Amino acid sequence: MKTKIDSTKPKTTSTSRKGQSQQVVRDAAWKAEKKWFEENMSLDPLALFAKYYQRLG
Amino acid sequence: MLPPVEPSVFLQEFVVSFFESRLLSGFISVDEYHDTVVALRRNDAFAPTSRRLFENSPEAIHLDGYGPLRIIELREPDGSRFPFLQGLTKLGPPDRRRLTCFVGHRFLKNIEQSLRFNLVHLLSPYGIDLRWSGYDLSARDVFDEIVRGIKSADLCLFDNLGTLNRPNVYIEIGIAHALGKPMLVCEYGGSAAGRRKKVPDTGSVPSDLQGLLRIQYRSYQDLCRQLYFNLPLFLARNELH
Repeated sequence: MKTKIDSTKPKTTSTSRKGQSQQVVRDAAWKAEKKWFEENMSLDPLALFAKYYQRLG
Repeated sequence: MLPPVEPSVFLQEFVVSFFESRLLSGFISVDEYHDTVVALRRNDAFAPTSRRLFENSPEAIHLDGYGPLRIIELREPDGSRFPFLQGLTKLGPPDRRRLTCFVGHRFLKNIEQSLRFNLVHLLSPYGIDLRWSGYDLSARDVFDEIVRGIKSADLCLFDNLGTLNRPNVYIEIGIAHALGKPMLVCEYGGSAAGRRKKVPDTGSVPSDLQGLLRIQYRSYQDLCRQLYFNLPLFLARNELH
């Protein structure tokens, strides 16, 4: 007897799980960036620029 | 370093272009962008700060509480120079593990001398060391060396300037993609003056590759700005810092 494949079930391969977790990381990074600007837009523009690259330290 | 234009005009245009890139990426609103442009125009301290930056270049100057800034001189492939504003960390390169970036590009002397010079200045202050691609993919051991180089790198950067009928960079992009490496792919689109014409000596990069930041540029000045403005987010999105 042939087994029917349920195409409505989400894929749970390791590749798709990895892709999903990468998307979660990318979304979190985008939100963190947006929040950083919300918190620092009151700074003088040149000071904000300097502070932006200090984050890489 | 002699400024190409009035220092405050250059600096204002540079900082505005930074905020414009943040606007277009959705991180600040239209109102915030315009408020920033007005604030720059009305800031009395801006002109003296701009002059100090150029007079001290390439030495950094310190803004109270917000870390050092400096003006450096970067290079176009034709050997001409352009100024670039850089924000530095207070303590120099980070203490954490340094990252390695594999760089692939066409091996022409003018590209080597300008692109490598620019990338070292843009990336090394933030703990990113560069590893260059080999010279000739036809040699089997060099090909293996390139695969090893990409495999051991934390991220890759490829520039397709001058690569028409020279597939090496595209092969390297494919290897990096297959290995799941975060990639910055820089695609030359012709100079602003000749934008309508097809660039005779440059191919194009597939747009549907996942996990890469594709930067389309018209000059190395344009490339350096786009690369630099998007670097912190690129590193965060790929969990590299």
